[in-house]
Amino acid sequence: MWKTLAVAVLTATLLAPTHAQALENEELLSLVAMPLAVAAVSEITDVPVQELTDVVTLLNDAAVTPPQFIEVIRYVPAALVTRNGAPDFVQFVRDREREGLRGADLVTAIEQQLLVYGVPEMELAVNRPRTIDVEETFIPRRVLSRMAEVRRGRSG
Amino acid sequence: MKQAAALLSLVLLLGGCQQRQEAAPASAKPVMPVAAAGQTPTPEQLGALGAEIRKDPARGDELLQQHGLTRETFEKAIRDITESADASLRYAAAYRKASA
Repeated sequence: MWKTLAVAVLTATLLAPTHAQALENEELLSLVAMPLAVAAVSEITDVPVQELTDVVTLLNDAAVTPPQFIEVIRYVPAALVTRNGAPDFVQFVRDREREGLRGADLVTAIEQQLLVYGVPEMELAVNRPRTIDVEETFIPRRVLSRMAEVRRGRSG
Repeated sequence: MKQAAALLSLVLLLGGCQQRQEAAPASAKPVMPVAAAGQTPTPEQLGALGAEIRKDPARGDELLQQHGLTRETFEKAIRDITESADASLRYAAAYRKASA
């Protein structure tokens, strides 16, 4: 019994700092990726840059964590290009922020609101970064599909 | 019982030593700070630093320290950059250049 206990304590003690360090590293890498995410979305032709900037500023003001910030930025293009009577997304975020929603609470509200713009269900309130490297697949395929639908609707 | 207590003490001591080792800087390689004290680092400087951190995240805090930054000041500078599409693009260009 003592041997088992000793092995358990030894394992936990040796692994705990490593796990904590890994989490800290992930948090730092998420921070590094934040401007990369904004740059990637700002390069998409249809996305209005001023509205993107407004959303980013509101996310920062509400102290949204870096992993959740990145997830919101990945999905936000679909909301920013949708017009035709859809609610103003920036105004929605601004209103929630003024109501006092912060961090994960604001992200959860955004997650629900994005459904209005035709973005299928998603999970933005992540605890750990899902994406650190901003590559070709950074903008989810379903967001790109939704944007293509909006474009077709405009030209049709 | 005594053996278990002794083993537990040894384990705790080892854990403490491990944490202290992680906190200590690993290399003495001199690095120019990204900005002088009180100056805001440019997007280019931060993009290059970001690439360094991406290459070796375990040395993240050490790299920040070498550039005269803490996690808090780094986060503030990064969030400031995100609030400008132009600054974010400059950061991304510097990041890609330093990553290549």
